[in-house]
Amino acid sequence: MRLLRLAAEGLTVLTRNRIRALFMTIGTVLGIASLTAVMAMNDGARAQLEQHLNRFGADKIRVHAGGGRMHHGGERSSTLTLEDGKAVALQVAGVESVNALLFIPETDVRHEGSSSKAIVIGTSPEGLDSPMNELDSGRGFDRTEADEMARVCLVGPALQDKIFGGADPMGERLMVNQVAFTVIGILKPQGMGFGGMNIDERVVIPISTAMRRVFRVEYVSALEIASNDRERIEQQAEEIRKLLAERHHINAGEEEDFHVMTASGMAEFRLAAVNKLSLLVGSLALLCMLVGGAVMMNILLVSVGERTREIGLRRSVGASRNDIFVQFLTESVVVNLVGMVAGIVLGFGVALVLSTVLPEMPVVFSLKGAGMAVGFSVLVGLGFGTLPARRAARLSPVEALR
Amino acid sequence: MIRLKRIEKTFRNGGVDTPVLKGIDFSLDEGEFVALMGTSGTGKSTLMNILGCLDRATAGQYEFDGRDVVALDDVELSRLRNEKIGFVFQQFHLLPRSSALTNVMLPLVYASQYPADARERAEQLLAMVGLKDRMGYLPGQLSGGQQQRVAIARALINRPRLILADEPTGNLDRQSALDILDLFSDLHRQGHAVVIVTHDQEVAARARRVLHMVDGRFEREEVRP
Ligand SMILES: Nc1ncnc2c1ncn2[C@@H]1O[C@H](COP(=O)(O)OP(=O)(O)OP(=O)(O)O)[C@@H](O)[C@H]1O
Ligand SMILES: [Mg+2]
Repeated sequence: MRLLRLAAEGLTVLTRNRIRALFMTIGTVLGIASLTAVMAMNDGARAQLEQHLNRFGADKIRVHAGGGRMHHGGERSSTLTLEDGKAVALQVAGVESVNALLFIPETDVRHEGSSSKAIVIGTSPEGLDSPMNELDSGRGFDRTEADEMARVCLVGPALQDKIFGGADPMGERLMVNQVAFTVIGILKPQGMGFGGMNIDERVVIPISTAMRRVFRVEYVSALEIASNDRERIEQQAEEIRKLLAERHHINAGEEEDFHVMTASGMAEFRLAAVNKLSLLVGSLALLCMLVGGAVMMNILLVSVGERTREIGLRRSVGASRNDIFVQFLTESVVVNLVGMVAGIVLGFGVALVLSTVLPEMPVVFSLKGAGMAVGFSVLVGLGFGTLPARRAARLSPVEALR
Repeated sequence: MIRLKRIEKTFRNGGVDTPVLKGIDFSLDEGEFVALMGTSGTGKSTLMNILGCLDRATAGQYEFDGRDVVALDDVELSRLRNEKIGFVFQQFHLLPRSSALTNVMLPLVYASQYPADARERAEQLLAMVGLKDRMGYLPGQLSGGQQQRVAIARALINRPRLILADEPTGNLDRQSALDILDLFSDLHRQGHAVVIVTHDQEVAARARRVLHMVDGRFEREEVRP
């Protein structure tokens, strides 16, 4: 109760000198703001990644043509084939299905007067079951259409806006690489990047049509392999890698012309990048708080000097050294807590603004970040408040009153 | 109430010793009014600080209500100051950003028991010193005499039995000084023990006991009937 009174007294002093309090909080506000922003982006990136992985599927293994990680089209490799897919389906235990995919980015698409570049994706009818290919309206293509190499297509919502001016394209003609298609369905927006392209500007067609009629190629871009044994998925990925290396006549030590990915492998890779960035900005935030704490300490030290008489007076009316210490420490802790609240609001605000400007950088309010903010500000408040508080407490009352 | 024996105080600054109090014997009974006089630099303020437990003597004995003050630690001394002693300073020492009322209530912040009627007490005291209509004023909005009255009300808030006043009228004009002295006389009449340091014969004339200090010692004591 008495302690509460002392704390309240420290608080009153602060509110009586708001400008000083403001300067004391600046470091904490900026430090906590950057910490909050970083954590919001970090958690946002994790949430997004999780969403991507769910879409990717924990039971899925993907083989991309071409070496290197996360290879999407880009420089095209022509060594992955439908036969590779068949071999995987036959020779790797626990493989439920293999769906071959062809990605051809930067393909000309046209409807009457308007034209654009789009990414064309060839898939089997089974591949339409993926959450990536969820339909907004219309229908997908079936096995018969695939076998007949039908010229039917599904369009992404962004492409619908671009080419058809947002009008209903159902049943309309769409020229894809100078081959006429009929639009039979519209895809749901996915809102994510795809090798630098907007995946909502895509055209999905049967892979048979794509290989024979539109692009006349013998290779595929990727194999999407469903496993019926999740526990063994990393082993299966390894078996697939070995099998394909053998089929492609790649010797040990040579660079492979394909890349095998699993959900967890992809997560590790992406999270490592996110964590590296977070660590960097996180240390900057910490530095900011330390500098801010030092500034606060100096303001407090000056204030102890300015308030010498006040301290002497308080001692004369019954404050002990401890009381003075508690009172001054309250000031620095409260300043830091207030700065922390302001910092959290500011930091999350900045993160929100950033995420509207850069949609591929989603943010989520991070509870872990808030916890760290509380911890850091209390630590800084106590750490940098102790010296001034001790100096105030050690003043001799007689000298202080002179 | 108070008994000092052979109190000495020597200031030590970088190897230089300045003996200021050189063996003071002094007793004060409940409800006494004592004036302390002497030329500048004889050690009156030094003695007051020791009496008020703001400073410690270099040697000698000090008893307050039978307790050995010398043996008390900082927390106990602070509590003694808070509960039994009220200080009035020449420079008033009010918190400039706090109202008269808040200033009066300041000692209660450090009291071990916060009284339920704190505010009423403070208001009553301010009314008693004639500042009923100035309670919300800041010190800067009050005259010197009024500020000193706020300081006196503050000294009384915790109902101390001893009031120590070190030249309380030193910064005041004649009329204000007389008003303040009347206040001290009232306090004495209400039963407080008062020790007042002054250079003014007229002030001293109100006291029953006048102690004359010369060079760190009591040279002479006048006692009026
Ligand atoms: N901290 C200190 N260090 C050294 N000497 C001191 C210190 N404090 C006081 N003195 C000396 O002690 C002596 C007495 O000082 P004190 O303030 O008690 O005098 P005083 O009787 O109250 O004088 P005045 O009437 O001017 O207020 C002075 O000579 C002063 O210089
Ligand atoms: Mg003096």
